[in-house]
Amino acid sequence: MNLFQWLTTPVLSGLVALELRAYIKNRQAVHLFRLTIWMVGIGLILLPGVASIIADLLGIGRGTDLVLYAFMLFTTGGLFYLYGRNLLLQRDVVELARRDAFRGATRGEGTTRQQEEPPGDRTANGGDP
Amino acid sequence: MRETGKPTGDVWIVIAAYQEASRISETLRSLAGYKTIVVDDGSRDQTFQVACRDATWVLRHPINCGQGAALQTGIDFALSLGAEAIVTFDADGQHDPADLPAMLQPVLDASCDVVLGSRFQGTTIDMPLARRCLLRLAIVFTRLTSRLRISDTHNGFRVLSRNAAKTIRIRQPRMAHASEILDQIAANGLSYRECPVKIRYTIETLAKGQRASDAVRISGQLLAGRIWK
Repeated sequence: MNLFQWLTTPVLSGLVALELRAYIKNRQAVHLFRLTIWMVGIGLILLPGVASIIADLLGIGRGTDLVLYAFMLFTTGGLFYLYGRNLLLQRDVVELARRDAFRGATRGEGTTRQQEEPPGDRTANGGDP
Repeated sequence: MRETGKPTGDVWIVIAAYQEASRISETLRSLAGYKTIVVDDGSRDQTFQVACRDATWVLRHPINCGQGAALQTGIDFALSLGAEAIVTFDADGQHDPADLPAMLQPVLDASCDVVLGSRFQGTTIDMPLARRCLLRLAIVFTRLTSRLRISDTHNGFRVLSRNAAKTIRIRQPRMAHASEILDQIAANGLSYRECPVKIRYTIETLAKGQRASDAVRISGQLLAGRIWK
């Protein structure tokens, strides 16, 4: 084993242990997913020849290219996922802002005076008063 | 001021305003006689205070959420007040209140659900060529995606019937909401009609308006909105 393998394998093994413990505790698929990632990482670091064999089977050629492609795919997928999460979070923030706006609705001094009472805190979609 | 052919029914005008302290008062005064709801979208200037002087109701988002979000807030509020027709109107004075009676009539006599203002059927004052080209491109895009044959896709001057306002749900908080509304009109089979309107461009309105690069951003937002429903 070279120095890099000595340095990274214990770290990744620790992460495997943490994810395993989290999975046993919570039974959430995300822990299994991360566990798999760390184990694949350990495998590829300890047995670099495996990456070359898989790359050869896939017609990519070099093991390093396989790792690079996989990294690009995961990064793109991760960004896509994070963008979606951000979008959903933004909708929640807007909904909160909307509720706050409803609560603080202020009668203006406009020329047309209406007799309606403030609608108070209503849920989205308006609805009848 | 209200023109002849005075519309009946409970009409509310919803105005989304962001940093419009210098212009909102004039816009609201031009709408005297109409019931107005201003949604201050987290402005850091005096928009809220100025709007309180001339609007019927003023709401304030604690943070800037975007024009689409502000319009939906105003529409929700108007619905809760029992609005029969809801007008969306720009805060910056681009639109001409004289167009309102003609815009309102088809909704108030229940001949359609939505009336969309069209500057290309009406008149534009001082519209730059680049803006014209950009809007023409948006028309082509909308015809491809929504399959609505309309002449102006990003006009903020619209009238929604109560039914349409309850059916349409704006989820695009920012500029893509204009395309989203059209998508929902098509998807929900709402009847619509275009009405010629006058749009006046000034240096200030152009500074706040959309740029060519926004077209790409809006397309991306629409695509993302379709993926993450």
